[in-house]
Amino acid sequence: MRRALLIAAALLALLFTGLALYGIGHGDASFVAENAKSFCFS
Amino acid sequence: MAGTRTEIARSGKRLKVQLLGLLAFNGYFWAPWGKYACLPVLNCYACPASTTACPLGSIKEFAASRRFPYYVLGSLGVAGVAMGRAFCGWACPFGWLQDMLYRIRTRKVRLPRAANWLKYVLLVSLVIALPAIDGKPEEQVAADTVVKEGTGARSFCSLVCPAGTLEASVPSLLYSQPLREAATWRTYSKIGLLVGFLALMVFSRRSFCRGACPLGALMALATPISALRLRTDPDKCTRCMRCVHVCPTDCRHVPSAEAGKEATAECVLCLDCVRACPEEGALSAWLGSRMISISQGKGNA
Repeated sequence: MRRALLIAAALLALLFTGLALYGIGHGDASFVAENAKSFCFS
Repeated sequence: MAGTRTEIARSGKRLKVQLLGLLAFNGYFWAPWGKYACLPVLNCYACPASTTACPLGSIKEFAASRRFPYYVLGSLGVAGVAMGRAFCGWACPFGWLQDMLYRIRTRKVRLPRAANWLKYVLLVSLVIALPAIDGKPEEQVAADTVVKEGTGARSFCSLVCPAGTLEASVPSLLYSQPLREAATWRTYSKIGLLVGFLALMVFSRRSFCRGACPLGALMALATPISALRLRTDPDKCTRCMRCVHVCPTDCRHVPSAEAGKEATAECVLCLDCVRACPEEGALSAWLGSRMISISQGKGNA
């Protein structure tokens, strides 16, 4: 049971990493940074 | 609200990590590249000192521009699977503020468990649905800062977020006369909400995390499959309920009834229960198959 949970967690971590990399590839990180900087009142 | 049997298991180590988090997440001036990162802590990116981008602010901007937030959800997902809500308990600057305010000596109360559901409602309605309905993709970078209302999407950030009010709205209003003149009812209602939340934090521990933090709601989804989790040894546990009393989010259950289900969605993995446990080896924290903390039987709450 414990091992199954760990394997599931590892697979999900891989899935989320893939999701994040896909987002970076499509300009998400720049979009995030652009928004964060534009909202900064300084 | 019910019950006043609330105790604090003070942890010097956690306080140090929280202070480091406070510095790290407000170090824009020495880490301007940090705005590309989205980490699961509530720290408004409209604050000039903020190092990273706010995940909630980013998600609502994606929603407003009708884009799926692959990068943000991927980043939060990796953090959630690895650490659960440990960021809430150990690194979130707003979590630290709540811990500090709760130290003020006064009568304490516990929120009812039903309050936990509010944050999920806020996540769906104000972080995702309202910006998606209200957003104008072509103007998405423009407007919903503190007082420049009207063209940006309304959202949790512009209507509720006390972290944003504290770190960005209040300083900007103090700093700028034009901004004060442009302030509207929404600006002042946010300040009123901030005052209300701050007052509640004095009386009820981690009340904002429990009831109103949409980021906590999002991270809670990853808690059941988190590699970082608590474990109770039912043979050593005497059901003294010490862990239940020190739990800041009121998520500990009677261990005998919940054996094997240690990490509820509300657990911020602060490990106060492990420190407070009076039975040696009865309660432990594990990262994957590696034990990282175990009760020493001192019960030093």
